[in-house]
Amino acid sequence: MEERKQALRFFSNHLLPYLVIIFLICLGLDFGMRRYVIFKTPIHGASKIKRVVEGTREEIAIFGSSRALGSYIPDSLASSAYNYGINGIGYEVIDILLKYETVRMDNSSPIIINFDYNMFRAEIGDLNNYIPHLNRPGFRKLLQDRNAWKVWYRLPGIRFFNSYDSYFKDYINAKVGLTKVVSKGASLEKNVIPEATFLKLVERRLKHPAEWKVDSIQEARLITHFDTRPDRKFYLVIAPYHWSYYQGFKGMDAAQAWLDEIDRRKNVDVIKVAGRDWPDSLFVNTTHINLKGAQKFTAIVRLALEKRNQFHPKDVHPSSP
Amino acid sequence: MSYTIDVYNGKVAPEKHFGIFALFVSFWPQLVAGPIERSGRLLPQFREKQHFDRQRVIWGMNRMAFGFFEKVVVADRLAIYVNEVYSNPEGFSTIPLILASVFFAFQIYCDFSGYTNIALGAASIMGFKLVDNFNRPYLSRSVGEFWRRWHISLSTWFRDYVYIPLGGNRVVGWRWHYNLFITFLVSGLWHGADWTFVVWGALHGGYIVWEKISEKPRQRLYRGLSLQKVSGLVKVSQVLITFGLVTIGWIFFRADGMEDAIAIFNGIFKMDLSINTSMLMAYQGPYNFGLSILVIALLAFSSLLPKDLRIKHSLLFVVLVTGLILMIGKGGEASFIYFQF
Repeated sequence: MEERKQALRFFSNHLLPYLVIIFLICLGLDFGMRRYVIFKTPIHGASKIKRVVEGTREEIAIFGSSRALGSYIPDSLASSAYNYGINGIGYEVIDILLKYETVRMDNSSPIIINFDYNMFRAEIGDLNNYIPHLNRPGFRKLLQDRNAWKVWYRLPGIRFFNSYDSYFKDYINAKVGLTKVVSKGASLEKNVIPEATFLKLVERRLKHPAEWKVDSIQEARLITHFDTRPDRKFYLVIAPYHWSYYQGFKGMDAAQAWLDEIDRRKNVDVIKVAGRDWPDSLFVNTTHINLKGAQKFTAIVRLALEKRNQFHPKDVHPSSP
Repeated sequence: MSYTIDVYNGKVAPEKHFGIFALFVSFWPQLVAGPIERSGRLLPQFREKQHFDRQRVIWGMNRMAFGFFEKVVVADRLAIYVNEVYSNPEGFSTIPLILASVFFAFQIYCDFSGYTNIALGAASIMGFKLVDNFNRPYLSRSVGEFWRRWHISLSTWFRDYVYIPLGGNRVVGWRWHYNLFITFLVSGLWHGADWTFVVWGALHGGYIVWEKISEKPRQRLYRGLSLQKVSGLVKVSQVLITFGLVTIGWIFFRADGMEDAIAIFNGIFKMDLSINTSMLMAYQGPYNFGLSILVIALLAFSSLLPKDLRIKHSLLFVVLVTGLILMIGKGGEASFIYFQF
């Protein structure tokens, strides 16, 4: 009898209050994170997805992976440009974002897609980009297709366990800017990599050359976007790679032929900034440029767009961060 | 193994009940990594009738919660920095290498102590008492004391089954030192068949032998310099020196082979003090770096708690710890370091 009383007292005085308090903490955390952190961090993928999905702005959208994220300085490009680059994503995610972007008939601004030679790889990057958007079409399926869907993504508070790092890291980077410069979705590396470390990266790259691969399904989806919006101009821009990236690259001719084919489309232009002769000091690694590299690259892209009369009169003179 | 040796030596009667014996060898809280529980302590507990004891369950919950905190919040957080630096030691200058080594000292402690606390807490909820395995080892004032506070069940196991059978200290001076050294060398080999573990064991054996040999001269020096007047300062220095010596040992323990260990020592003694913020943060950003420092501070703060975690406001404690785990814990599939040994 005494034992049963003890068990009941343990349940009512300890276990039950514990569960209730934790539940309330979880609810508060969930609300606070969404409202004050995740969607207030312009460089995080989750915030960018929200902006694309809910966007009503007339802007030059720049899509792509981390190469886009760290290469385009929107303010230097055009006042209405916004960098939607998300770390680690392949075309599959860009495709979902393009669907949301091209469906908006009120927007006729050009769209920039940063082209990676491995763009058609099946990678979706950090799952935390999608956790706040799992009730929106496309994103839950993206996770389910990769067996990355977890039941607890439905539970408030719990769903962000292990995700706070991802959100706060970008939040602090955006606020403090200790190692990065942040500008309208772009996140640009300030530090120059030490020479010895960079040489190691080059060595590693030369040992493991990259390869061109095209996925016919993804390719068809990309072309569908071009066809759906003939009134909008699409720019496939190739941000610079380090010379070592091209060394031993398998299938460069096929890649070039594919790009030429795309370039022949009426509403698509390919702009290639190879970067073969760029010095090491402009790179973070063999595939990404740093802030200085981004300044040089963005100026080139701006010039290319100006030549094609792509700027709206309201686009003021560029400023650099 | 200790059960077999104890039965062979007649110290423990063989367990005749198959169910109890099976439970002893498969008792899950101490199955994989310890604490190494002796049959003489655990077997009698399996014969006792268990009753629900509210206080014991609450204490077990505290212990489990704190264990998860040590593992998920402290150890796995520090692992991010440590893994980054130790996977490419040549790519880092002196300060990140020292920081990574210090972080590893806390990582391995929290990883193993965390596991032990989870095991002890789970056993306590079920009504069993396992042996305490850690007693704030980084507050030790000598390496000898460190080994009386670190992985206590393994240290006593080696004492009883290796050191004493070798003759212990009831032999001539040189042989005593030899016994100590060999015990630590075997302990190193027990952790893994790699030269780094052999060096780690030998290093600790060397520390202990040196402490024994230099004990009297050190005491004379202490009295001669009247250091008793600043005994507080001496104690703090002893704790710091011991921590430094143990951390040097951990470099061998953590490095991926002797080549890497040598590269780390080269990097540290090169005294390249150039500061590059990205490198200082092991290219993991200010958030991870800040949290790494914070979790060590939280760990230091937790030393104010009672050792056995019998806390008056246990509900508040468990809620706080759960909140910290939810907020700054690292999920994923990081297994416990000691599971590999």
